[in-house]
Amino acid sequence: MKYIIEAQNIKDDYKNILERAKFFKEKNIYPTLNKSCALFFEEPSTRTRLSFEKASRNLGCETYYIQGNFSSSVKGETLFDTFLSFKKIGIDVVIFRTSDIMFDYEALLELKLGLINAGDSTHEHPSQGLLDVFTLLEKTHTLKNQNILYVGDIYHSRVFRSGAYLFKLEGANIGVCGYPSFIPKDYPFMDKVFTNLDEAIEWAHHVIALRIQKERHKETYNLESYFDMYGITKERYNKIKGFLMHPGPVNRDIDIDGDLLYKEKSLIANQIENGVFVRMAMIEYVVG
Amino acid sequence: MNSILIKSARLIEPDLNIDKVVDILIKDDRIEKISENIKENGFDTIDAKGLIACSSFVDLHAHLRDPGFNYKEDLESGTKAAVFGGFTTIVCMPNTNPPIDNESVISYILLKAEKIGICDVKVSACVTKNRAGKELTDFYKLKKAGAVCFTDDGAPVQEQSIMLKALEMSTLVDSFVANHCEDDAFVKEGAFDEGAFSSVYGLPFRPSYAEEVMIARDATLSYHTGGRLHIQHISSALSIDIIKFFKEKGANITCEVNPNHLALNSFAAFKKKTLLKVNPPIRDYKTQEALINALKEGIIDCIATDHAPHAPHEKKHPIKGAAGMLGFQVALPIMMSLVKDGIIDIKSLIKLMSKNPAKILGFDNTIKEGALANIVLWHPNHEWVFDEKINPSKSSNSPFLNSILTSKVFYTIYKGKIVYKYLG
Repeated sequence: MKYIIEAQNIKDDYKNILERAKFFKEKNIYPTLNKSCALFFEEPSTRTRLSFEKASRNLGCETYYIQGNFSSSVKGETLFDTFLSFKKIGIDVVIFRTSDIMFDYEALLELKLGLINAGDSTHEHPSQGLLDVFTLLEKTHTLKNQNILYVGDIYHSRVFRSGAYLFKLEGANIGVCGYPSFIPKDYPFMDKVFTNLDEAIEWAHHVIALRIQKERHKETYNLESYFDMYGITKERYNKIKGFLMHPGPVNRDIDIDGDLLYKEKSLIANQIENGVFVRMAMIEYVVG
Repeated sequence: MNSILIKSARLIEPDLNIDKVVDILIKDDRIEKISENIKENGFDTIDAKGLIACSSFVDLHAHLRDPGFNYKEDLESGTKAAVFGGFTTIVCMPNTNPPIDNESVISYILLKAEKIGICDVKVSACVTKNRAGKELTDFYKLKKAGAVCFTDDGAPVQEQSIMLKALEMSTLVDSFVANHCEDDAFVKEGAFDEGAFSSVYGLPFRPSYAEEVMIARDATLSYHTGGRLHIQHISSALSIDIIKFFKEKGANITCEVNPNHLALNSFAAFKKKTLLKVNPPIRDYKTQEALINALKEGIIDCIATDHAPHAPHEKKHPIKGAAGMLGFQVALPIMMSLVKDGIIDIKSLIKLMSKNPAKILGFDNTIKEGALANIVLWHPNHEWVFDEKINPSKSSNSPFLNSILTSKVFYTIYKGKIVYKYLG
């Protein structure tokens, strides 16, 4: 059994995972794995959870959804206890979303479960990162020297952390744009920092808008001004040279002008569709 | 009568500009004679060839966890760890349970430490009751009961008007305020420095400006009140500039740096994880360089260990986990590494670890005939492994655990008694 907790766990294997996802999508031939998958979510999720559940079932796996709430627990020990009990109950793969950062997870690996991180607090969201790479590659075929711009609250984005790492492996350049307090200092997989979105869009080939976490910033920033400063308006959309993506859920008319969500340069619907195939490939990978 | 003859030690006494190989005869708690070739006359003899002798080290900043958190450390294990590192005078911080905001806790610590009898434990008392930052403690009574300074270390005084009054009051009782400078508004749940490590995990961070704004505030208040201010464990380049500025203006300010901040930078967190978590945080290599340079330039008055034992389960979580690391055991090897790198000389090391902190506390520890025999004998080049077996602390939260360190205390002598002997 293998694990995908951080994007770097699959730096040597991610291309194979993407190949398998492509195969599933194009050929419509799925293996039957006959495994038991636990979907353990400490935070609410609609599409990620459903996408993983569909992916599991496409592969002939049983799925068990567990809504956990262990946010006050000391991470590691309690998660270890929970996962150990899953193992003893007969679970093969745990797909989990935690409100804590997966900081020191070596102990969990001893359980010999297949582990897939479906988002750990502000840290990583590898399936989203992988499906973003998959979706863009499907259109552009290569990402070498492509400038990819993330817009929004980069600091708190787990989507960014997984995606930036994988896009860099594909030879892309990573730019970020947002309020100064949204920019991670000395982040190693980041090439350009912008605070002005119009300048950033000039630089970018492709744009990934992130969801502003309203609950985190409502006291600090005015959302109307946010849209003017950092939202994907029609004018900005027209200037995007390549494609527009967003991991969802979208704050319409805050992150992106609502009219633009499913226009021709937007790959938002493609991301959702591809998510299932990429997650199937991830499950197949961890099962080994 | 207790007599010890130290043979052929290299005595370094910066106060008297002495650096030569001598014999030192100790009788009872005093230094009887310092001379070349003192005859062995049935005394207990220490062969100190190759060892440096100096006044034992003084630490202005240590957490002994007693009373209240004795599972981490207590006065016995804490003082054993101190003398292991060559310290015979240490100032314990007041974040105990109950906190040191009343006379009875001071009495408890002083009596217990005296009974253990291997190290002079001095007590810092809280600036505010229960370290809550709201109401000043009774500086007059606490000083009378034995407090040597006032600090809410770890929970710095946020309210500026209280800090102003604390500085005024400390002057009246002829003491000083030591502050751990970090503005709560900027640190929230912050764990590590703002930089690569925090960015990779998206962790809340503790930026250097949280420290700098409070140092600027406290230095300003010290300048205006004339109150003595000691700034604890500085961790930023701008902090150094602010302190330098106010010192040049004549403000009554001293400051310390933690050896761990000199030896480490934030990249070590990728490997050592929460073992590197300390407040204020270990920052990037540029800050590390700036702190080392400030030490060289003499802007930093002393080093202080911020010895902070914690149990393993308390150190696990990156955000909620306890901040702090062991200090006594590694201070000398860290400082000697700076000597080996040509940054400071041994005389400066002794000033930083012994002479200057003694001056801040207001006592003289010159090694001379008739003086109290508080002496540390150490080997500058001896390699040893800092492991669980040798560690006298109850806790082992140090990024240096299981590392080979160079330079080791061989003997610590407190009031004429050998209180620590390295057995190899």
